[in-house]
Amino acid sequence: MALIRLDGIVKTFRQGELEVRVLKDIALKVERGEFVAIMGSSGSGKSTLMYILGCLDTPTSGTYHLEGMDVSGLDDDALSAIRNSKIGFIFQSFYLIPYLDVLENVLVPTLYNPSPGDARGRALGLLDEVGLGERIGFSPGELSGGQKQRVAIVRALINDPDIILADEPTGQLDSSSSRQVMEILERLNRRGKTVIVVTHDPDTAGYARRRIMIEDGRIIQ
Amino acid sequence: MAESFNKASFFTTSSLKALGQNPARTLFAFLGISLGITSLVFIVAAIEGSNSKARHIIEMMGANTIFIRSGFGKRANIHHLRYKLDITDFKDLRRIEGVKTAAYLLVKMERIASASNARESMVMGAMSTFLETFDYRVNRGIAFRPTDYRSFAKVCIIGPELARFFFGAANPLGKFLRVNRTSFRIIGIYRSKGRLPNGMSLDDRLILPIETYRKFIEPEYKKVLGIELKVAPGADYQHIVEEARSILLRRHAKEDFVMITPEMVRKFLNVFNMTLSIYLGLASLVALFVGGFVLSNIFFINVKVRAWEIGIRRALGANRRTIMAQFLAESVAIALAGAIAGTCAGFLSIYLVMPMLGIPKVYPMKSLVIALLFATATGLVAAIMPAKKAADYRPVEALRSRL
Repeated sequence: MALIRLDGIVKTFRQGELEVRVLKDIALKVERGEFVAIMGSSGSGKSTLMYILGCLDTPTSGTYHLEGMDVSGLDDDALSAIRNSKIGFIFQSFYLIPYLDVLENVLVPTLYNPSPGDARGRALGLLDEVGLGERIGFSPGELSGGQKQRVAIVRALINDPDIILADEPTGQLDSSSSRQVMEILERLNRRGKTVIVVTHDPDTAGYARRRIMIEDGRIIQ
Repeated sequence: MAESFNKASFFTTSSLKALGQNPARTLFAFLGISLGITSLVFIVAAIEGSNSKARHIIEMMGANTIFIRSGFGKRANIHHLRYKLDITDFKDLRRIEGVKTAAYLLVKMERIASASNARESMVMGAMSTFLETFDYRVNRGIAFRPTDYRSFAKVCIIGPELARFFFGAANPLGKFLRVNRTSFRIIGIYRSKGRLPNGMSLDDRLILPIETYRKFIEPEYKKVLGIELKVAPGADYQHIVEEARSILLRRHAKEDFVMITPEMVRKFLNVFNMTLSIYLGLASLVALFVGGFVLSNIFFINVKVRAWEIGIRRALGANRRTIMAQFLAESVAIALAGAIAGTCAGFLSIYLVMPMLGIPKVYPMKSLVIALLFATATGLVAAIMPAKKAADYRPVEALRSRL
C-alpha cells in the first residue's frame, strides 16, 4: 500500500468570473521511505500540490489516500489532527514565531497534540542533534537563516511524523547552510522518514532519489 | 532538565509573550478595561457603604424611634438659635398613646472658662442616645456612663477645638472647665466633626448629661432643639407619627420642625443609593463597553497582523478551536490584568473620594470577584469576533499573507 496516493486531483481557483485550473488531473504515488523532489517553475502548481499533500488545502475533485485512508473528504478537525501527527512542515521563510524562543518554537506543535509525552526531552535531544543545543533560549531574531531552518526542522520532527514536507527549504539560505539543511533531510530519510521537497532549484532537488516535474498543472515526468 | 513539560503553562506563557510583542496596544486595551473596572468597584463600595451607613443610623436611632428637630427661625444665628419647639410641645407629645418614653435635647450659648482662659461656646444637654445618634464619637477618654445621668455627675465631653483652645497640646482629660459657677471634669473628647456647610464649627461644643445640664445650666429651660419619642412595642408606629405631626401642626400653625424616622432615613438612603447605582452603574457600563470596544479593535488588528502566525500554527496542527482559544486567552489575560489593576485603583478612589461623599469607606472583597467576572466576560465578548475571524482564515492564505 502506498503511503500517499493521489488520483485525478483537480484544483481550481475562482478569480472573479474566471475559473483557473491550477492542478489538472494529477496522479501520484509515494511509497514509505522515499525521498521525492517535486520540481517546477513558479506558477506551475507545485505549491498547490504541496498544500494538498500537506492537508492544508483540499482538492476540488479527485481522491487523496494517506496510509490507505481517503482524506479528501475529511473535515477541518480531522485534517488538523493529521497535520499535527503525520506531517512535518518546513517552509522557505521558516515561520518561526518571533515572541517565542527556540525551545518554545519547537514545542508549538505539541500544544495541539493530545498526547505529547516528554516533548521537552525530545526537543532538547533533537536540538542537540542539529547543533542548536546551546541556543534553546535564543529568540529567532538572534539566529542566522541556517539556524532558523534547523529550528524549523526540529519543530517539524517534534511529533515524530511519517512525512516531512519541505517547501523551498533552501530558498533563503546560502550554499553552505543549504547543504547543511539538505544533509539533515537526507539523514532523516535514511532513518525512514518519507521526505518530499518542493523546489525549483536543481541542487536541492539533487538530494532526492526521485524527481517529479510539474508544469502547467500536470506532472510531465 | 528537572521541570517537565506542561502544556497549560506553555499555553499561558506563550499567550503572555504574544501580548508583550506589542506593549503599546496591550497597554491601551488594559487601560480601557481597568477604567471600567475601577468605576465598577467604586459603585459596589458606594452601595455597600451607604447601606451600612443606613443600617448604622437606623441602629443608632432604634427602629421604634421618632426624632423631631426644631426649625431655627428666620433670624437665627449662632448666638440666638430661635428654636421653635418648646417644653410644652414635648409634654403634649409625651402624652400620645403608645409613646413609651420621650426625651429632648437642649443647647445654650455659655461662657466657658478654665483657670486662665475663657470663651463663649455651645453647651449641650445630651440624652443617653445623643452621642450615638448624632455621631459624636469619643476617641479620647470615655463617654458618659449610665450612673453619670442618674447622679447629676459634673462631667463633660468636649470637642477637639475647645480642647486645643484651653489646653493646647496638654492632655485635657481629668482637667476642669467652668460654666457659670460650676466646674465640670472632662472625661472625654470627641473626634473632629468638621464644620457645617454654613461654616459653623461642630468641634467647639461642651456636652453634659441632660440631667446635669438641667440642674446646673438651665433650670428654667423652655426651648428645645430636638425631641425624641420611643414607641412602645406593639403600638401603631405610623399612627403615632401622624398624630405627633398633627399635634405640632395644631400648636405651631406651620411646619417649623422636621420629623425624622428610621423609615425616612431608609427611604432617603434608598433613593440616594438608587441614584448612585444608576448613574455610576451606567458610567461603569459605558467605561467597560468602551474598554471592550478598544480591546475588540486591538484584537482585530492583532489577528490581521499575525495572520501568518495563524497560518503556521494551523500547519502545525492547530484546529479552529485552538486558534480561537489562543486569542480569547490573550484577551482574557489583558482583561484580568485590567480587573486587578482596576480593583486597586477602585480601592484607592474609595479611600480618596468616599469621605467627600460622606459614605463610610468599605473595601468589599466581593467587588474583586465581580471585577474578575465582568472582566472575563468583557474579554471574551470583545475577542470573540476577532478570534472567530482568526479561526476562519484558510491556512494557505494565512501563510501567504507574510509574503
